[in-house]
Amino acid sequence: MRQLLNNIIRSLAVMWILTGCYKDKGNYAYHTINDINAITSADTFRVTRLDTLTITPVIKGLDTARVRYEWRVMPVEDPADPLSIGKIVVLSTQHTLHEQITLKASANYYRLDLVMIDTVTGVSYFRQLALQVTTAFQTGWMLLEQVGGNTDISFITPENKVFHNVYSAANPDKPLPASSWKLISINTYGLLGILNQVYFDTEGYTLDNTTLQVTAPYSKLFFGPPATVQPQNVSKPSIFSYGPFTFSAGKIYGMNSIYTSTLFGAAYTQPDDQGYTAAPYVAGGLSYGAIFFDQAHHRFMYDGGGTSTALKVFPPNNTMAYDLNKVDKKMLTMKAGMGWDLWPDNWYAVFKNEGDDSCFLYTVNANGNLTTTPVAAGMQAILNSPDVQRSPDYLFSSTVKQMYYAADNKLYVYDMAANQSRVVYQFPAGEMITALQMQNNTITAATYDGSASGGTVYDLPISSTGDISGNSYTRKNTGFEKIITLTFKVG
Amino acid sequence: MPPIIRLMFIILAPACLLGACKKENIPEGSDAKSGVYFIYATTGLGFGNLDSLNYTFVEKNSSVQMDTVWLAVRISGGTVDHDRIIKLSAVSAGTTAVEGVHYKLLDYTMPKNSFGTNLGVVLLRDPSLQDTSVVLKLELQPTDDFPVLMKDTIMGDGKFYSRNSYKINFTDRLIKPSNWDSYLITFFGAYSNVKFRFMAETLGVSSFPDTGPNALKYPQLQYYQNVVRNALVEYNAAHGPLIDENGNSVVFP
Repeated sequence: MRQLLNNIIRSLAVMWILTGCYKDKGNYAYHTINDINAITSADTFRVTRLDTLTITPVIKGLDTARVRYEWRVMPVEDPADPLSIGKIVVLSTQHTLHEQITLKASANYYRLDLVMIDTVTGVSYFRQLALQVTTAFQTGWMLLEQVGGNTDISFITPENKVFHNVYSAANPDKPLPASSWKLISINTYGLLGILNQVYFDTEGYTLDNTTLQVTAPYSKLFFGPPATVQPQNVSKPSIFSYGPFTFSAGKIYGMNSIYTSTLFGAAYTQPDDQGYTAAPYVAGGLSYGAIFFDQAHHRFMYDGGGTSTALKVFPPNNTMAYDLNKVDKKMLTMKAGMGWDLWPDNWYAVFKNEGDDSCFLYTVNANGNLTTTPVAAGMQAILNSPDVQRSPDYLFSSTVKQMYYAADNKLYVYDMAANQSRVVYQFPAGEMITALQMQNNTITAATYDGSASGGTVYDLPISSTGDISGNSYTRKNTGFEKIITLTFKVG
Repeated sequence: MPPIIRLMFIILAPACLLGACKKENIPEGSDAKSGVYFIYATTGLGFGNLDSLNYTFVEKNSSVQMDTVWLAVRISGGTVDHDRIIKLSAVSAGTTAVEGVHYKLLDYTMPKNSFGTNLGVVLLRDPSLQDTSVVLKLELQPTDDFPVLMKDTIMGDGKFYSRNSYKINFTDRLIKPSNWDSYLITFFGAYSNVKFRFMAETLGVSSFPDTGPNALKYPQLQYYQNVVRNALVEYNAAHGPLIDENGNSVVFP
């Protein structure tokens, strides 16, 4: 019995070993490689949130019929795991993407992958795209309104859609104080990108570029907060100027965006032992420096250009149009005039006598070496211009020597050569102009008639003569409260 | 099996099994003796100085004549309902700091019902520290309250530490940054001891690396430059020009 058992075991062992000698005939189901390629109309797509995104790729390959599709987007915030880097979400499994986009709007780009899976070989092919989800608030007019005891921001899109109270909707727990008075949107031409800010008396907020949510207080945009937080302005006068610059309680702060900083530094050092209190305006051009006005000592100042953070006074010079160190007036504004807005040729400063209503126009040349260039390029008393000292703002043409201003219900153009002003548009009696700005040769004016929802915004296109084309507005939006200020959000 | 043995087995086996049914009273806490040990800062991980710290008075305003560093300790064993004495003393071997001149130790206790506390060591800004740096080597000593010292334990850097000792290296000596003449001179001008001490006091910083993981970027250095320049304007207005050891007025470009 035992002998029989041993023989059986030995036989099975030999048979098992012999199976190793079996020659593999290779009779497998091989499939031809089926390289899949997708061609899309662009590599980067931009869509307004809640709009439908349609992408129809052209698929190429030996057999595109056996391809399965997945449109994957990442990173998508995962509420269940907020600290994670985000998850991958499949938007669609169709050949053509045609979906309403509900992803969160952001200044950053999502990665959008079209994944093409060969259902026979199982091989996946990727076409990598970029997707930016924006909001309706990406580009358009931002209006700062007085609403009840607080203030709020409304928005008008280029398509003329009006969104009321967008700030409070985005920031329900951070109402804008009643003291809010200034709204700014500038391109910093640096890592910071578009900077949107709203100021109130002793602080301000920086607003997210797509959601308008508060991202940080104004004072957090510094390496160390200003000694006195009282925001006044932020401006990038030219792409060559070191900056942008911001002004807080009469002190100047620069952000070295040339060296990719995203924070403002310390207050610029005073030019001499007199100290300075800067008017909140800056001029700049082809030179790397920038020009400021010391309101306390009635003199212009400049920084040395490049990365200097110490102010200097101009050397005495009697050959220029005016004495840069003695302008005994109050600066009402200083803005770019003629020339390309990236580095304007001329800057205009409007001054007012401190003892009366007389106003003056000073021309500042910010190009070249600021110690040798004739910076003081021109000066004239502004004549024959009613109520010029009362304008809520001053606008300058980039092509002709004209300035626009407003008083009560009248919009004026000041002809510098003729040294006189004329009314170019008049609103109905009682409808007062409260704010005005210029964008693409069109003046956008806000008016208020004193009644509830009595605020209106008009677009007034400028003709080549400086008049309002057809003496008529091209757009009118009503139903606002009193608009304090407005600014064009640059996108 | 003989019958007698089988009988004994039958009798004893149930007795043994029943013995397992006795309820054991588990003590509520460990009866291990209490000990106290240092909590080393993990920030030193990778630098071989888990059990030590470096301190400089250079970064303090000149009005600061003493400062306290706090060393965290924790206990082994349970808490008790009364304060317990912790004994910390300087170890003569390896200590160059002089008690009463460079440092003062305090009376230390572990508060009741606490697992940990911080032991303050007062560092004194003696003028001698402007020329030298000193070492204070401290060790926890056994007491009636904490009779046990911790044995060697392996830490995150893979080394063994007793966790009974701590070393403090401190100084008030200016050390000119090695990158001053090659880089910092752009922001701060020519070096002098008076200038550098003014900078360190104003900024609370005496190291300005431009390479490595903590390298300062250009805008940060420019910010420092602007801060010290403004501080110098204020100083000069209040006290007259700040003069350095070479007789020159201190200036920042």
